[in-house]
Amino acid sequence: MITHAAGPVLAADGLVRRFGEVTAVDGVSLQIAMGETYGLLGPNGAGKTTTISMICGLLEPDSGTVTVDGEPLTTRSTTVKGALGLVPQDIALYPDLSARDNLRFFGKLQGMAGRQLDARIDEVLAIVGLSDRAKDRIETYSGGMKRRANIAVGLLHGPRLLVLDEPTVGVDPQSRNAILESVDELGVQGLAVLYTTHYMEEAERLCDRVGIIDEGRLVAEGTRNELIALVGADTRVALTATTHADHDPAGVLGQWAQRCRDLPGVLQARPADGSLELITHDGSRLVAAAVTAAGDLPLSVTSVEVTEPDLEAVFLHLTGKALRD
Amino acid sequence: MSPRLGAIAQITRTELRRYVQDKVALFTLVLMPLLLVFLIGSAFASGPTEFVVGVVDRDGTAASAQLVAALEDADTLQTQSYTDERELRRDIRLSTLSGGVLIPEGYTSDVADGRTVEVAVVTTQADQGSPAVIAAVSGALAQEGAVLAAAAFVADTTGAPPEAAESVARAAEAQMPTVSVETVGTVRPEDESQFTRATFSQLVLFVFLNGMVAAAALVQTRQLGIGRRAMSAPINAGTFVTGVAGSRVTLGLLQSAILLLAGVLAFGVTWGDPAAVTVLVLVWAVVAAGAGMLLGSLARTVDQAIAIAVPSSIAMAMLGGTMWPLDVVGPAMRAVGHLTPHAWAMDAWSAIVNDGAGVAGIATELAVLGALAVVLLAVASVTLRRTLTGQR
Amino acid sequence: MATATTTPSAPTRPAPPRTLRAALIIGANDLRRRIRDRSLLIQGVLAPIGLGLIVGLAFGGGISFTATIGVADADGSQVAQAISADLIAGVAIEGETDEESSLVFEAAEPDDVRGQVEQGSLDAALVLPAGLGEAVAAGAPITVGVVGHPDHVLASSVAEAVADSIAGRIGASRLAVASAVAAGQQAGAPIDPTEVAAAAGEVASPLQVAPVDVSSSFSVVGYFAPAMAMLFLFFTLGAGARSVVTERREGTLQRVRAAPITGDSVLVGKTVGVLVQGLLSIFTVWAVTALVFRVDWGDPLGVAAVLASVVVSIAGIALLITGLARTENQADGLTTIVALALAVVGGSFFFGAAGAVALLKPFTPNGQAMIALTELSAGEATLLDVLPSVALLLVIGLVSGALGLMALRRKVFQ
Repeated sequence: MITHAAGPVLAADGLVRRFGEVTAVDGVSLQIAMGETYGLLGPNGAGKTTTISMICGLLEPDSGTVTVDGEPLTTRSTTVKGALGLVPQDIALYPDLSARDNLRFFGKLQGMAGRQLDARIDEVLAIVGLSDRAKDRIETYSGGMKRRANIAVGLLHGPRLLVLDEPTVGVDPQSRNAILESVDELGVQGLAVLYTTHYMEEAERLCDRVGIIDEGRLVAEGTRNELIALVGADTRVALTATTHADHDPAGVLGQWAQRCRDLPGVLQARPADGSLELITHDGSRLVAAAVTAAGDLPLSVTSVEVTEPDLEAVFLHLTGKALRD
Repeated sequence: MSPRLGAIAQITRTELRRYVQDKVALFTLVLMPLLLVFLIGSAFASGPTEFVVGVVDRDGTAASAQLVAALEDADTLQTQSYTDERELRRDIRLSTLSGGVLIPEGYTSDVADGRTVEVAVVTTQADQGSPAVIAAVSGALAQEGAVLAAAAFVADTTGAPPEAAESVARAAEAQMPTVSVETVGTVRPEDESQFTRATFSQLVLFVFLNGMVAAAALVQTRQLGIGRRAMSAPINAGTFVTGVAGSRVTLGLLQSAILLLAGVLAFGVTWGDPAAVTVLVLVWAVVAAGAGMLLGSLARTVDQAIAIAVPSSIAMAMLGGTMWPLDVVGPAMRAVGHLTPHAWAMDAWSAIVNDGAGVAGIATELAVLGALAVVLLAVASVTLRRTLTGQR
Repeated sequence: MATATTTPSAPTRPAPPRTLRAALIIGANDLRRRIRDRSLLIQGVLAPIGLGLIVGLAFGGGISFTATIGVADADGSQVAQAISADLIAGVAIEGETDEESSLVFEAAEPDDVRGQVEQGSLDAALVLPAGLGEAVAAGAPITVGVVGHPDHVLASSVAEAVADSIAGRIGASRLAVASAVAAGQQAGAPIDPTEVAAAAGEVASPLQVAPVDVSSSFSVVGYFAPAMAMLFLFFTLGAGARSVVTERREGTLQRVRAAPITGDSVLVGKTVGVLVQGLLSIFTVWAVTALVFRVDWGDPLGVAAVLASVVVSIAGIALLITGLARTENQADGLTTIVALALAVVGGSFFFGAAGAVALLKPFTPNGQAMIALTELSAGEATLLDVLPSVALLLVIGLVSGALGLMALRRKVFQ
C-alpha cells in the first residue's frame, strides 16, 4: 500500500490560462480531499475543460500551481500523472481496437504489464459492465457503452483521483443513470472524484462539494446546503384554490394568507390570482399546516406545488445567467 | 420532380464548395496533371535529335578511327570517347549516355581478312529510346560497312591493292546520292503525336485517379455522420448519391477541360471531332465518379480508401495502356487490359485523335463505358443507402 | 452495473515507463493497428509487387510482339521484286526484334496500303516507290517509304528499321558497282556495270551490330517493384505521420499525454512506428522479389543500406508535410501530390529517363535510391560505392524529419 501524506489529494492554486485575448480561466483554486467527490458546475464555455486540462498536466497554466498528494504536477511531470485517472469529454479510444486492446495499451503506458495488467483489466471491465463485449471493437459500441469504456480506462491504473469531464453528454437516459450510479459507488468506496458537468441534477446527486464556475472564475464553493444557504434561496409553496361561489376571492385568499403568516417557519405569505404563495425554509411540513389553516374558509385547495431551492437557482442568483442555454 | 432536383443541386453545390475551399485539392486537380504532361512529353517527345554515344575503341588503329569518324558524321549521333567500359556501362544506365559502341580488338585485321566483325551496341534495352539508338548506330555502321564491302569488292574485281581500293570506294561514296527512308502516310508529325498521346493518356489516368481518391472524402462524410444528417432531411439515398456524383462529375469535367485546353495552347495539339471529345470526356468523368463513390461507400477508414484507390488506379492505368501503348505487350496482356475501363477510353481517344472518328466511330467504346458508369453508380447508391441507414 | 471494489484492491502503482520504453509501446501500438487494418499489407507489400508484376508481364521477355507489315511494290523492277520476295519469304532482316516475335510480311497493293494501315488490317507498311530500279541503275537518289500508325508504335519503328536495312543494302550494292566502275576507269580497264551488278547485289557489310543489354540484372519486374514500393512508402509513411494529427482530433492523443510519460515519447514513438512500418514493407518487397521472382539485387549490405536510408528519407519528408499542413485533409492531399510528383520525376513510372526527367531524377530520394539499386543489381557496385547515395538520403531524411518534428511538436503540444 502506498501511504500518502495527510492533506488534500489535489490542490490547485490560482490557475490562470489565456488564449490570445480571451482569459479562459482566471485564478481558479480548489482542493479535493481523499474520498471526496467534487463537482465543478458551470455552463458551456465556463472554463471547466481548460481547468481540467491544467490539472491533468495537459495544458501549461500561465500562472498557478497544481499539486497531487503534495507533489507538484506540470506538463513535464511523469510519475505524478499516474495518480490521476482522466475520463475526457471525447471518447478518447481507438475505434478500430477492442476495449481490451485499448485497456492493454493504456495500461502499459501506465507501467502495468503481464498478468497483473490482464487481471486488472478484467476487474475494471466488470466494474463498468463491459465484460461480455470486451473483445468487440469500440466502433461497434453504443454511445453509452463507449462512455463506460472511457471510464474503465480512467480507472485502470488505480488512480487516487478520477477526473471526469462531462461524462454523460449525449448519452441515453439508462446509460446515464448507470454511469451516475457507478460514479456514486466509486465515491462511496473512497475514491476522490472531480466531476465537471452543466447538469445541476448530477451535481446535486453525486457531489459532496460543488464549485460553481462561470467565465473562468469560481464564484462560489461549498456543500449543496451551504451554497443554497449562501444565496438564501427558500422553498416556495404555491397552493391553488378555488373560492366558493358568492365569496370574494381576494378577500378569502387574503384571510388565508394572514392565517398562514402566523404559522411557524413561514417567511412570507402572498395571495395571488387564484392561489396562495408561501415562502419558507422547509416546505414539506408546511403544506399540511397551510391546508389546515384554511380550515373553515370558503375555499377548496385544488393543487399544491412545492419548489425547492436548487443549484440552478443559486447559479442564477450568483451570475444572473441560466446554467443551461 | 422539381424539389428533388433542387435538393440534388443543393448537395452538389455544397460538396463542390467543400472541395474548392481545400486549396491543396485544387492544386491536384489542376497543376498536377499539367506537370505530368510536361514531364512526360519532354521525356518522350524531344527524343533527342542527337544521341550521345560513348565509344570504346579497343583496336586503336587508323581503320577503327575511321569507324569512329563515321559514327561522328552521322546526323543523329554524337560520340564521346571512353577508355573504361565499366564507366561507359554506368553512364548508360544513368542515362547520361544514350548508348555505347564497342569496337573490338582486331578490327582492322578482321576487316582486312574479309571476316565479319561484331560491333557491340550497348543500351539499356527496356529503355523506350533504345531501339532508336540501335537503329541510328546501325545506320552509321551500315554506311561504313558499305564502303568496306565496296572496297573489298573492288579489290576482288579489279585486283587493286587494299588501300587504293578503299580510297576509290570512299571517293565513290562521297559522290553517291543517298538512299533514304521517308515516313509517309497516316502518322502525324512525331512531336505533336507524342504530346497528344501524353495529354490524353494523362487525362484518362488522372481523372480516374482523382475520382478514386475523392472516395476518401466520402468515407469521411460517412464517418462524420454528415451523410446521416443529410439523410434525415426529407430526401432519400438516391438523391444524396446523385448530388454527390454531380459534384464529382463536375470536378472531373473541369479537370478534363483544363487538360484539353492546355493541350491546345501549350502543346499545339488538335483534338478532333468536338462532339466525340465532349461525350467521351463526360462519360469518363461519370465512370471515375462512380468508381470513387463505390469505393467510398465500401471502405472502412479514410486510410483504407486511399490505400486501395492509389494502387488500383495505377494498376488499371498500366494495364489499360495509359503508361505504355498496348501494342507493345503480348495479346494476352492486351486482352487483360481490356478488362479495365482505361483501355476502352484509350481506344476511343486514339480513334478520335488519330483516325478522326466522330461519335459514331467510338460507339462501341462509349457503350461499354456508359454501361460501366451506370452499374457503378447503381451499386454505389445501393451500398450507400444501406450504410447511411445503418443497415450495414 | 456490477459494483466490485476499486481502490482497496488497486495494486501498488508500478513505476511508469521511461521515455524509450513508452515510445516503443506507442510505436508498437501504431504498428499493430496498421497491420490489422491491412492497409500496410496492401500498400506496403501487395501494391508494389502487384504493379511490378503487371509491368513484368507486360514487358516480360523483351519487347516481343506480332505484327503484319505490308510490302507494296510500286516499281516492279527486278531490284524491287527481289527485295519484296525476300521480305515476304521471311528472310532474316537485321533489326532489333528477337526470336519470340513473329513478323509477317504480306504483299500489298500500293494504292491500297495507306487505307489498310489506317483501318488496321495492316500494322504498318513498306513502300518501294516507282522508279526504284531505274534510280538504282542511274545512281539517283532513292527513297524507301514507310507507312505507320500512331497506335502501332512498335510496328512502325520495326518497319522503319527494316526500311533502313533495305536502304543500306541497296546503297551498299550500288556503291560496290560504282566503286568498281571508278576503279576500272582509273586502271584503264573499264568495267560494265551490268556485268557486276549481280555480284554486287551479294555484297555484305563486314560490320555486324550486336546489341548488348547493359541493364542491371534487375529486369523490368525487379526495377518496378522497388520503384513502386517507394511511391507507396510515401502513402504508408504519410498516414503514419498524419496519425499524430488524427489522434489529436480523436482525443486519444490527450489520453496518451495524460499518462505518466514525457511529451517527447509520443513523437519519438510515432516516428519509430513510422520507420518500422516503412522498413517492414520495403524489406518484404526485397525478400519477395528476391525469393519468388529470383531477382538479384546485388550486394545485400549495400541494398540494406540503400533501402533503410530511403525509408528515413521518405519518412522525414512525410513528417515535414504533416508538420506544415494545416489540416489532415491538406496533409493528405499534399502527400499525394508530392508522392506522385517525385515518383514521376524519380523515374518510378518509366524505365529510361530523358529530358527533364533525366536531369531531375538524382535529386529525388526515390530516384537517387533507384540509381544506387540499379548499380548494385548490375553487380558493379558494393556497399562502399553506394555510401554517398546513402549519406545523401540520410541527410535529406534527418533534416526534413527534424524540421517536421519541430513543427509537429509546436502544433500538438501547444
